[in-house]
Order: sequence, then structure tokens, then C-alpha cells
Amino acid sequence: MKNGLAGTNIYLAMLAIGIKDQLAYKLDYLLSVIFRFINALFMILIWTAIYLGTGVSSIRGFTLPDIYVYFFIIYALMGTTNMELPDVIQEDIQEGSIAAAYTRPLRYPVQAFMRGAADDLLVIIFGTVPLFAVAVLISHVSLTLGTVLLLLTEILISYLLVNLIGFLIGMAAVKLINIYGIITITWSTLLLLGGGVVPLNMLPPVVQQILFFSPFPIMLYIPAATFLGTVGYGVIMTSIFTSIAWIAVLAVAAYVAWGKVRRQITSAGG
Amino acid sequence: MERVVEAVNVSKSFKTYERASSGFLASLRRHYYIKRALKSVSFSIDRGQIVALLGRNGSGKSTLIKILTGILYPDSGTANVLGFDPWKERMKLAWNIGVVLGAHGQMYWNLPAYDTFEYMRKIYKVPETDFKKRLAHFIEILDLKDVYKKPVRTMSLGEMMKCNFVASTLHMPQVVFLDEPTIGVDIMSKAALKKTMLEMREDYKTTFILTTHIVEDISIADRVIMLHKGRLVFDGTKEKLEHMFGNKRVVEIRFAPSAKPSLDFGKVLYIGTGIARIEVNARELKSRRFTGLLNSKGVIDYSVSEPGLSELLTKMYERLEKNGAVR
Repeated sequence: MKNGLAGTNIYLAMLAIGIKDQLAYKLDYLLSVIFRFINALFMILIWTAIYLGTGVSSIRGFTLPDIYVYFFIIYALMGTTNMELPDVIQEDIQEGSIAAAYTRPLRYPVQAFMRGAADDLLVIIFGTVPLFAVAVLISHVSLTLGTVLLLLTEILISYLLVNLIGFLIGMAAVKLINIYGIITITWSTLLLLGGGVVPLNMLPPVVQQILFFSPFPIMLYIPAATFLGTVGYGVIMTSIFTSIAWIAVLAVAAYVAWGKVRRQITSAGG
Repeated sequence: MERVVEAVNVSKSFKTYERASSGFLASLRRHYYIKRALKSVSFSIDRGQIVALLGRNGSGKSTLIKILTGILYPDSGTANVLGFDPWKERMKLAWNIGVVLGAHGQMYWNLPAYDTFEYMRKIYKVPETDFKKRLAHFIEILDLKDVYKKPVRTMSLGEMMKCNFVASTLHMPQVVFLDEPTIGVDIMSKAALKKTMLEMREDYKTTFILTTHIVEDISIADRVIMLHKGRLVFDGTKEKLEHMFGNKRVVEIRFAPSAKPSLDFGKVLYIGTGIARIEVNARELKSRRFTGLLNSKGVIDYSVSEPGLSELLTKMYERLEKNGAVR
């Protein structure tokens, strides 16, 4: 028990120093809040134009006010799908600081994850919380304890998924050194297939069926639809279980990839 | 003596590349080849020794340190540090060693060094009282009083290196690996680092292995291990190194511009108007021919000097490049 607590203290120490280090860029985080609001407003403007242009009051169960809330929730959730981990790994490999991390009595993936988590936590505080607050204020949804617990479960699952995907992308940096392009493509894919541009229930049924077997809907669409109450309990539970299966698959893939890549780390110097 | 580090026939190769040609599309055409960074290197180090790993850039020093600390694995051969296989038992080994990897980021860039020290205390579970005592001592001896509370990014390279040293040794490791620890460090700080290392050796029997290509750094070492193109080419004391070239002397002769002294008893290193520098065997200094020259007309003055360590190493490197061997 004592050892367990000591271990937790080390993780907390890693998280705490990471947050302290990142807080040197307070202005950057504040600007990111503005940036996220602007992005949400862009989507709202586009969808307002679609609704007013077509003259419909509802598309697949989404009214225009629902769409406003939807995109504030989506941009709030982008804080929880921040995917900082591949950037951390790429930076460590490019700067050679992975060697220093290796000299400590800690597993490198854990060190990288905690550094990424420190940034994620700040993005959640500065980005997710304000946007979520706006969504709550402008919506007429009364959140029950059950919905909140469901939302937290979905967010936790999506956070694990994003970090496992991020870890696998980060491993590519060992070979490619610069993985910025891969990170951007992955992020765009997540945005598109997760429901960050179009609510997924507006896509053709076949596409929806395929997508619901992917790990993406739980990242943005399912939590946003859970908040709005536009998705059934059955779909939510199916998505949760599908995503847990994805976590298992990606965790095995990450474990295998790390085993192979660890031998190829050839950081600077010689 | 207790053996704490052992390398047996350690070899390591890297796949690397160079541009196949010059020109606009050159970066698309790469010529891959295998670089043999270490070639069957064997040695052992006893507890409390201070060993300098010497060699030119690309000689394999850092690769060897990385293998001994578990960062890299050897292609063949075995390494053992404090009874652990560094690659297979990296985590266990890490509790017992300290590593300073040149200027590579071991400190949190935006925070005062103190925050990294405190973080290390938690990682290595150093008791608070020990931490305070050790830190106070390091701050005093390494002159960090005005440094350790300012953000690392505002520090000079030398200040950063000293803080790196503290962060890596606060847990009092049994073996400390220092990769180029004196880069950018001023004379006073170098002396302070050396004093700290000697103190740690005295008080805790700490073993130090430092890589360097700076000759003055080896003055602290009991032993020098020299690598050249991945091969171990010398393993012995500084004195042994000096002795290998110790039979040579450099004679500087000043003579009248009109004089034409005969200089054929040694290797002429330099000759100019009224001055010549010749490398001779020590026993030649007693020869009749040499004393005759010095007493001859036209010779105004002369001086005899032993080559310094820096010159010895230059010669050694020249020999290695030419013959592939020290002797």
C-alpha cells in the first residue's frame, strides 16, 4: 500500500512539474481560448447559413439552437482530445532529450504521457471548461447525474483512445524524426470522422454504420449528442463497448510497437 | 578492489546515411551505410576510480556511455554496471547511477533549477533532510547561490551544466557518468566541479566515468581510456600516456640571422629568421653534437621543454590516423 502511494506521488510530481513548466506560456493558453471560441463561431456561422439558406427548422433532429450548443460542446471536447503526446515524443527525439529521460528510474512512455497530460490538463482548464460553460448556459438541457457520469465515462474513454493513437504516431518519430504531417492528418481525420464538422447522424446511413465501428465517434459526436439528448442509450452503450474494444486493440499495438521501437532509439551524439 | 563497471567485447553499429550527390534533388538521394561506432571494446573499472574516456569527435565515447547507462543496447558483447545488465535492467540500474549528458535537456527549461532538484528528490525518494543538506553543500561548492532560483532558460551554458550535475547526483549515485561535463564551463567552475567529484569519491567512494575531448579534463582522472574510431587504443594512467611520448623534448634555439646552424640531429618543427624549433630524443641532449651546437658561434639562446599533454594527444591522434595504432 505504501509503495503504491509512493508510486502515485511520483506520477503527481511528474504532472505537477509539467504543469508548472507549461504555465510559463500563460498568454498562449489564454489565446487558445479565444482561438477555440473563434473556431466554434466559424462552424456556427456556416451552419446558420445552411439552416437559413435551406429554410429548414431541423436536420436529423438538430434544430439551429441545438447546432450552436453542439459546436460549443465539440470545441470544448477538443480540449480532451488535444493529442499532445506525439508532439512530446517528437520533441524528445529531435532534441535528443529522450536519452536523459532514459537515465531515470521511470518508464519512458509514462514520462512522456505525464508531460502530455500536463499540457492536456491546462488545455482542459483554459479551453474545455469555458466552452462547456457557454454550452450549458445557451442550452436548455438539464443535466442529470446519470448524463454527467455517462459524459465523464465517454470523455475518459476518448482520452485513452486519443493517447494510444498519439503514442503509436509518436513511435513513428523514431524512424521519421519529424511527424508533424502525420499528426496534422490524424487530427483532421479525428475532426472529420468524429463529428467535428458534420454531426455524424447527418451522414449517409452506410457511412454511419461503418463509422460506429471506428474509434472516432466517442471522441466528439457521442458526448455532444449525449449532452443534447439526441442519441439513444443503446447507441451510446454500443459506442462505449466498441471503443473499449479499440482501447484493448490499440494498447496491444502500442505495447508491441514500443518493444520494437525501443531498440532503435539512437539519439544525438556519438 | 570491487569491480563496478565491466565491458566485454562491446560492439555497436548504426545505420546512417549521407547525401549521394549535391544539387537540388540531393536530399532525395541517400547513400545508406553501416557505421561501426564501437568495435569489440573491453575494460573494467573499480569502485572509486575516476576514469576519463578520451577520444576525438565520433570516436564512440558517447555511444559507450549510452550502452553503459542502458540507453542503447550493444549489438554484441556484454556490459555490466553494478551487477546489472544496463539494457535489460535499466530501471534497477537507474536508481544507482547518475548521468550528465552534455547540454541535453535534463532540466525543466522554464523553471528555476530548484524545481528540477525538488522533482529529482521525489523521483529518487531522497529524504528531505538529506536533500536539504546535500543541496546546500552543492550550492556552496559550485557557487550556485545566485543561480539555482532563476529560470534555466536564462542560465549560461556553464551554469546549466553545474545544475545538471547537481540534478544527476543529488541521490548520491554509486557510479556517475558525465558526457562532456565541462562544455562551456569557466575555469573556476571546472575547478569546483573537480573538487566536488573528488569529495564525493572520498566521502562516498563514488565512481566517475567522464567522456571528454578536452585535455585539461583528464587531469582529475586516475586512468585514461582512449577510443579511436570505435576501438579502444589506450588504457592506462596519465603518467603512462605521458611516458609513451616522454622521451621527446622540444628545443627552441635563437641564433644570429647570419648564422647557419646545423639542425640535422632532430625533427625540425619550425624554422624562421633567427629561430628554430626541433624535436629531439631526450638522450640527444647529452650528445656532443648537440652541446657543440649550443656552444657554437651565432647561437644566442636556447630553451628545452617537455611536450604538454595537449601536444602528446595531438601526436597520438596523428599516429592513430597514420598507423591505426598508438605505438
